[in-house]
Amino acid sequence: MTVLPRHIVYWLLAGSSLALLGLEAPSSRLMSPTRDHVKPEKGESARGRPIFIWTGGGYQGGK
Amino acid sequence: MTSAPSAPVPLFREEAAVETVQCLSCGGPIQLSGFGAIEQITCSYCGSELAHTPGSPLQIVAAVRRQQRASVLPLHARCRFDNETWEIIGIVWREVSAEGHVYPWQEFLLYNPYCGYRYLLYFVYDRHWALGRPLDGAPAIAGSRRPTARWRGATYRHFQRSVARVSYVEGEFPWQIHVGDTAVADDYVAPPLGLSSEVSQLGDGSDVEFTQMEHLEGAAVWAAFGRKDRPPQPTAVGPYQPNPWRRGRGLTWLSFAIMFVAWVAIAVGYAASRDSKIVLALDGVRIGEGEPFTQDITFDSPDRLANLELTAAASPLSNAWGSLEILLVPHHGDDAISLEIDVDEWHGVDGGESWSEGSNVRQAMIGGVPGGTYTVQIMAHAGTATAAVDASQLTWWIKIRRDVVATPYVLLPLGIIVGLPLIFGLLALTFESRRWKNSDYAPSN
Repeated sequence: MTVLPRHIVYWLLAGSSLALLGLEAPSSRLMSPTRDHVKPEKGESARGRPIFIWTGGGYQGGK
Repeated sequence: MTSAPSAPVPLFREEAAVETVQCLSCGGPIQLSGFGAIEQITCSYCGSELAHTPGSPLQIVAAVRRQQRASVLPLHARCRFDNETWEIIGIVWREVSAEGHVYPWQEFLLYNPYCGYRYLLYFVYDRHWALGRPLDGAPAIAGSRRPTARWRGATYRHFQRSVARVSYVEGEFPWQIHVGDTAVADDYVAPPLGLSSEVSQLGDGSDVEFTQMEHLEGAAVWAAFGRKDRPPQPTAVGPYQPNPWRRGRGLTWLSFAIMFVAWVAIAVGYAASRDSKIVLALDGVRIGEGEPFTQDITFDSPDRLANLELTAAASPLSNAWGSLEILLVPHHGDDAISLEIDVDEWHGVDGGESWSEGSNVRQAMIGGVPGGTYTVQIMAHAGTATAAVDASQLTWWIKIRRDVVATPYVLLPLGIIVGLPLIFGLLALTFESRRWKNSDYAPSN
């Protein structure tokens, strides 16, 4: 059988996607949204709990 | 009385030698390379037809005055095919006319004194090449509506019938050939091979010739002639051109079968190992503007990552939208997860026809969520097409499930495993469609 470049492309793509299914799907890490910081807003509450304010934007500055 | 001794019979024929003579019409030099089998010589320079009998001087059969034309390969060029050296001793230009178009090609008669003749064809209209070998028999032709030809175990499909007309001749030929000669040609294809039958009407009957054709790449022809420049590039799919997308079909099918079985096994294993649980279920809650809903939820252990599937439905929703801002604030850190889910429902009547779009139920998934305790904060917003309205008018059904089957991960490999062979198959069909559109069996015919 002659191995053509399209066979190699097929094996690579199919194999990678199967590896994703077998190894990555249980945690679904690739579907995770960006984690960002929140801060509880003082003085504001609903039903006795603090309201968390989304500060967004990922990196919020250095130390 | 004894008879005089006769001349000794030579054990071998005379050594083949190239001879140069002059055209009796224009005086141009004519190189004779075809030796004893030549019946006709057509002067390259003036086109006059000369009869050649070994050992006798040339005779003019027809004096012609035409200019020499440049073929893609010159007369007397030498090449290597079938591990033999061949020389172009004759060139014929032929053409067929169909639907107002002329399709010309050039035939080069190749000669080797030990192997006979071959025909090298250059199709000027699509720049493809084919090598013709005389058949030592006749193929079996079957069928009338769409005939097939069988030859040595292979089946060739009829491609087209045409009337080929000779438009230009130069060189030596072992048969009589004149400008204006016609022949009915039937071409059969089984790429990269083909069969060609030509029927010529002669004075006392008809002559049928069968030729086996083989597709040649331009680069192979150029290499055979030792040319260093680039050959003409094809402009269409040739009748005998092998379908590149059908090459390696067996390996493609085998790869598909292996990958598909692997996908079924991995997908079933993945789905069976999900430990799906509902971690939050809110049925019929109203969430006012600025009055977020909050609740703590706990699931799994912090060292286990899994996904969360959020489903939100709102009612009543009529030409309006609702939106949820969901924050998952972990108790073990301050990096929260934010997600927005929008639902909407629009309907109306346009031009007498009613329409509707949008959905009051939506799902979203977030992955890579470690287990632990989280505070879920949900803020609601609502509005119409023109203005925001009080969010508490909407009743919400919200569900969060842990560790569900992530469909995209399952469908992605299936799409690749099935999709790529499908694309290869479609490309093969497209290629065949392009081949057959020039045949007698094109869909438009």
